Amino acid sequence: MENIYKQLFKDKLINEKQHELLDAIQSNKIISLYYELRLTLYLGILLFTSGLGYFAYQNLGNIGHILSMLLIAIAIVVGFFFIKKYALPYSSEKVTVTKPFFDYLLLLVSLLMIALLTYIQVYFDLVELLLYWTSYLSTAILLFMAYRYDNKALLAMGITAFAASVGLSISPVNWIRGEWVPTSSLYLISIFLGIVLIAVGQYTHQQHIKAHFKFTYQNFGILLYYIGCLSGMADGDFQHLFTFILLVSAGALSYYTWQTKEFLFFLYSNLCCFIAFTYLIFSLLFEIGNGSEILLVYYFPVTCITYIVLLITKKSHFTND
Amino acid sequence: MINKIVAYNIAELEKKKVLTKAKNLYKSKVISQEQWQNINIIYTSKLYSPSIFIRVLFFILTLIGLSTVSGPMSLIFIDINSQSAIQIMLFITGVSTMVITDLVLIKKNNHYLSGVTEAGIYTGLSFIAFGLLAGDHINMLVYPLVGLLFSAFAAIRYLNLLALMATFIFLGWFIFQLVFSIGGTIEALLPFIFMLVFGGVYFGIKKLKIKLTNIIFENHFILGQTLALLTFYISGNYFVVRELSIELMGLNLAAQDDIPFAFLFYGFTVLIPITYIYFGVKHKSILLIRTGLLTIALSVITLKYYFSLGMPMLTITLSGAILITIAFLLVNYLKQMHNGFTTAKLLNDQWSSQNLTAIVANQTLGGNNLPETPNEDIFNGGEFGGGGAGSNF
Repeated sequence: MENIYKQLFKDKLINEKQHELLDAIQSNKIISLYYELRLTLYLGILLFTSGLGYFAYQNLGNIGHILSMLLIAIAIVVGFFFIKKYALPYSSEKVTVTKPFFDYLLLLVSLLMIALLTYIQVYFDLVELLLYWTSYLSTAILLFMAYRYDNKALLAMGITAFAASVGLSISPVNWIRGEWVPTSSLYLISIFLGIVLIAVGQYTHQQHIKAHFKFTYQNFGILLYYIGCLSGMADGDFQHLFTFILLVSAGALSYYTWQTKEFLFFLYSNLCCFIAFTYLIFSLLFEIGNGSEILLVYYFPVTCITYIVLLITKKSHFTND
Repeated sequence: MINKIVAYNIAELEKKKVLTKAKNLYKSKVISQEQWQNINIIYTSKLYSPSIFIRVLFFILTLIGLSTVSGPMSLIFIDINSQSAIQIMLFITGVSTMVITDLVLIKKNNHYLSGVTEAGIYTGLSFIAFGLLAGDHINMLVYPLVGLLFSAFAAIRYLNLLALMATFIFLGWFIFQLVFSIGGTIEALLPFIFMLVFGGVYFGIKKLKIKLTNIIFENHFILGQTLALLTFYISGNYFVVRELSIELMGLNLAAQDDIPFAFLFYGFTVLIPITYIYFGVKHKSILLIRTGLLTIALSVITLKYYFSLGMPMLTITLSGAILITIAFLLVNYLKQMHNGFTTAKLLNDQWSSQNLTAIVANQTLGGNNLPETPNEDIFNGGEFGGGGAGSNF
């Protein structure tokens, strides 16, 4: 077959008008510079703002700092003016604004707000006083913007900020004084946060509050959970316990995601399950000793290939689309 | 003819291709849902390619499984303690892997881009290559030659794009080795030889494209041409030529000194991107335009590296302003279609996948900190050092 569109037209699967358009695209009569120009613009904005920001920071005295804070504030206000102009009213469903640069604008304004917050804090020496609150404040700003204007990138940043705030406030280091407080382990927080995020994703999905945010929540949640388990497995006094928990939960999630066909999570779960299983088998064999280690040579080929063969026989379950 | 060379079933492959294209059309809102469903019914393909994540899973597990197969295999050969025994073992493992992949997976079970096939092909060919090349008595020319043949084989028979890339790398290595083994004055001509060869490759592919019109090779031509153009540019780039001359040919250069024929390479660095863009606009080839844009960026960096004004921040700001202006003017100019150029989004780009983009965006836009180390970044998302306008999105 040489020309798909011609073939489709011949089979009467597309009409003449569509064929004309597609033919013009294929034979290079029409060319779209959509991606190229966007990329150029994006790069331009990136270079320009970073250059300008650095320049201002280097060259301004005290008045300059207040001036630039004011400028950022003005930029935020102007940004909000446009956001208000184009935004659609809040809805718990998915809201799509068709203006092409709306997403960039949202991102820019949110980041400017956080930048201003940080700027004020550093300039007025409030870091020590506000340290714990800033990250929660950033989280609040980002999450508000994400939910109000329906933006997944902002949601992802909000979740990251939240993870940072929680991790920060319970972490073993007293950040302000630079002291090391030998307390609990971070991976426990990671595990709990992961579970909370997964639950939030599930709950909001069921309640139809921005149901399409589920993936973002659960992606972060599952990653945090697994990484927490894996680091609990790597150090600490309860290695085997964590391995066992990981094995069971990853196995269960593998089964569940297999049923719901969420293949990214299936991938994570499978790999984690495999790691945990391998770890247990290896420690078991070393425990037994007596030359049973020779079995390890066969372990990887046998398990991997058997599992692949098993999965392949379930072909129809995950054909593309 | 093609049926013999390509391992896959051509008719099914074509159907698959039609489906992919039609799905893109549906997603780009060119055809209606009803039309897409009709196409989907008629062009259902028997080929088995799972979704991308399953593909990754299959690939990783198969790779681990197959590459450790040599462990148990070597236990069989452990008594014959010699180099050639291991070589034979590797060779046999490789050949059997290839045979299984080809006959059982591809021919019998219609696997296509399933992750298992790729892993099988890569490990199989690597095993064969290790089996053939182990030992240190071989001429250096043989390594790239074997690599070239093997990757070209995989690129053509299994339509593998990664193998096509490897083919280009091995071709470059081969030329390099060849020139060095001849030695003498010809070494100094290395950049020109590279340019000649890869320029030839580009036009060769263009010729071939007219002969070999089947759509299953479409992506090969796009990738091949892009790689040829990029290599052509890189072989003439001043920075690359200078650094490689110092590194590989032991040229002694002070920081201010120029390499021989410096003006020529400066010329190439400036002119090649412009030529790409010119012909891209003239022949309306998006491939040339994209390659041109990329090489322009590389050229700017190259020239700034040698002719810096000492004010990098000013340069960044100015170039940002220039880029914004150009993009803005072009967007405005092309609001109406001029000469077939438009800024409207006609079709979704076939090289970008929605799912992957979402994940990449999630990972890259999610602030500087990774989710798994929640304690390290105090000023998450906000800029501490930048201070001024939002520089970090």
